[in-house]
Formats: sequence, structure tokens, C-alpha cells
Amino acid sequence: MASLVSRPVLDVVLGEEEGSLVVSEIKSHDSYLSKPSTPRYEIREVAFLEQENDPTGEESVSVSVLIEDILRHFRTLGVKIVSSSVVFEYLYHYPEIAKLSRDVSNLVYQYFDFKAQLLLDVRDYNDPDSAYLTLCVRVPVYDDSVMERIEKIREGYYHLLNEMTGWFLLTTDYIPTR
Amino acid sequence: MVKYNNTPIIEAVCEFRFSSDTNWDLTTPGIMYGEIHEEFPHIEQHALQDINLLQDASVKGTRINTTILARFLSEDKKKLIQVGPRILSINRLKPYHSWSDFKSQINYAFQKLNERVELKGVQRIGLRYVNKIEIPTEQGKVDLEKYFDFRPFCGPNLPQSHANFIAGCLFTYSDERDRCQVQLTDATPEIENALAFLLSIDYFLAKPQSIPITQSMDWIEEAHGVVENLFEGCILPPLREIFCKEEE
Repeated sequence: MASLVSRPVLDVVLGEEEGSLVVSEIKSHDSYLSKPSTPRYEIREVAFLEQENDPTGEESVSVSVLIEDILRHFRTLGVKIVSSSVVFEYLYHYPEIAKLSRDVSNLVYQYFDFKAQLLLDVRDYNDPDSAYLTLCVRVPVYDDSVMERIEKIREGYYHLLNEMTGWFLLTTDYIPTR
Repeated sequence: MVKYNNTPIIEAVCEFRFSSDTNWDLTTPGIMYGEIHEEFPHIEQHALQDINLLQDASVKGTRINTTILARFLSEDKKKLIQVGPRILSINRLKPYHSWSDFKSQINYAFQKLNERVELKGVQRIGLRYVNKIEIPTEQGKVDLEKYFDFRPFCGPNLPQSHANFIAGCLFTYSDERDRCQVQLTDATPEIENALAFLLSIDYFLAKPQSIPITQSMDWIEEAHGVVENLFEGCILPPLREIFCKEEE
């Protein structure tokens, strides 16, 4: 079953055999991320499920519930959704991009603090072939480090986009938060 | 059957999970695509991940259960057929037209798979309807009691304002052979000056292989009747007005 995994979106499990237990120290070489005082370790157990024996705990997999959960997550983080009907349409069209934007929004708050304001929008929406989702970061004061931080986050996800339909860009418009 | 001109259904899902004695291999999604590619030309892949976290002061643990689904989409990407390890899922995103339309999509996918794979038994079938209900606010609020007969209740000694909520219930049917999970949560509104709610009704076969595979479509018809009744039981007349109930 492990050979079924072929998508970078599953980076976390790539190259790891089913049932394997992977232990690794969580290292932060990134000066923009806070450093913990004691070493932290991560254990990952990889399992590929073929069949659950007890169906009572499961639910029928719904695209809309996935998207609505992601939207709820954005709401909890205080992400502002600009032109909401267009954004909703885009997220429903590209659920993988929706998941990616959720994960990136979490990262943004690790690289910036909670004074950062996030805005989710779709650019070029009049042309369905070139439309893309943007997450715009606004901070109170801009210096060179803002774009450096954004670049760091982009480096972490750009390779995932090659395997997805749709596109996602983390950016800033240099407007100070009020 | 009640009909609404402004239906709140944003998705209907019918999901089959077949028994482990059903022969299934890596080529099955490709075989299925060969059968349906004219109506479902677009292909995507989707990973279902169930992540469990364990945390203490120095060790962080994660168990990741992953199921890969091949997703085939219609030209407008509103109709989906998803195929995974012994899983067949048929989804219809909004606009949802009618039960007969969705049932024929279910039947089409099931028959196409049945022609190429010997389906031995059914572990689980689920018929789920997801409704997104947007209600205009009055002074920034919505009185749930006015619109829903299925809702969270907070007694007088509890705070009456909340940011998020989930209310759920698992009902049993047919001598506990079937169950239905009804869940009402808050959602993100798409229109201004409104609050949104997600009402999900998921009726499923809770006892594996308790019906023969040949009766699957009959079971689905019965499930649809229950889901429809439950939906009507969850809502009150002011919501029916918002949905623009058709005159009979």
C-alpha cells in the first residue's frame, strides 16, 4: 500500500513504510522561529487504512464539510475573506489548495506574531485558467525581514503546488495594519 | 416530498465501503476511469488523513492514518465519483437538482464498478446531506429557537453567547442496523448581515454486511426517506419560508 503514496502533499509520510515508527528531533534553524529551551522530539507512526472494522465511528466523506471546516479555522484565526463568494467558489473548486492555505496560515502566525492580519482573496478571477488564491499578510511596520519571512514560508510549500491543480500565493501589499 | 426553490443543500454524498473479501487492487481506479471518463473527464487525487496527536513535555507523537482516493470530476466539477481501497463515493455539489437526478448518478457509478469488480459484500453505506443555512440577523443575532427544532441548549446558569458550537445526535433505525448522525454547527456566512449554519445528516449502515449487495439501491431509497423526514424535523416554518417552499 505504501507505493500508493505519490503526492508531495503527503510529504509527512513520503518514504516511510506502513507501520513504521519514525522518531526525530524537532530542530529549528530558522532565526525567525522561537527556539524551545529543551529538545523536542516527534514520533510519527504511519498507517495506511484499507478498511475500518467498525463503521459507526466514521462518516461519509464530504468535500463541503472539509471546506467549511477550513473556513471555520480561518474565522477562528481572524483571517478576513475578501470577496467571499469568489473565494468560496475557488476553495470548493480546489480543495487541496484550501488545505494548503489553511496550513500556511498557521505557519504565518509562527513567523509573525498575532499582530499580523491575514486576508484571503482570489486574483484574476475573471479568467478561470489563471485565477489563484492569495493570502496577504499585513503587519504594523514593514522592514526587510517581512519579505524574507514570507519567502521562507513560500520555500516550504512551493514544491507542493506542482502536484496540485490551482495555485496559491502568500504575499503582502505593504499596507500597515490599523 | 417537500420541494424548496431555494434549497440549502450544498452537497449530497453516497459512500460505499465494500467488505475485505472484495478483490481490489491498484488498477481498480484506472479501470473505473476507463468506464466513466466521458462523463467524468477530470482526475484528481485526494488523501484522507486521520491524525491523532499525543503530547507531553518533551515528546510529540503523531499517528497518521491515510487513505488515498482517486477523484473523477464532471466537466463542471460539480459531480464527483471517488474511488479508494474498497471505497466508492458519489458526490453532488450545489446546485443539487433532485433526488432522482442524484440517485441516477449513484446507480450509474455503482453499476459501472459492479460490471468490472466482483463486489462481495457491503461493510458500510452512507447517505449524507450537507445543508448550509444562512439566516439574516436581527441586531447582529439569530434566535435559533425560532428556526430550528434541533439546536444546542444552554441552561440559564450558562453563558448565552458563544463563538462556535456543535450540536449532534446519533439516532438508531431498523433495530439498530442503521444509524443517522445529525449535526448542527455554526458556519461561515457568504452573504452580509447573516449568520450561517451547517446541518449535516448522515444516514449509514451500522452493521457490516447486514444487507446483501443486491439490495443496496433499495437501502439507499429507504435512507433518503429517513434523511428527508429528519431534515423536516430539524427545521421550523420560518426556515421553510427562507427556503421558499413550493406550494403543493
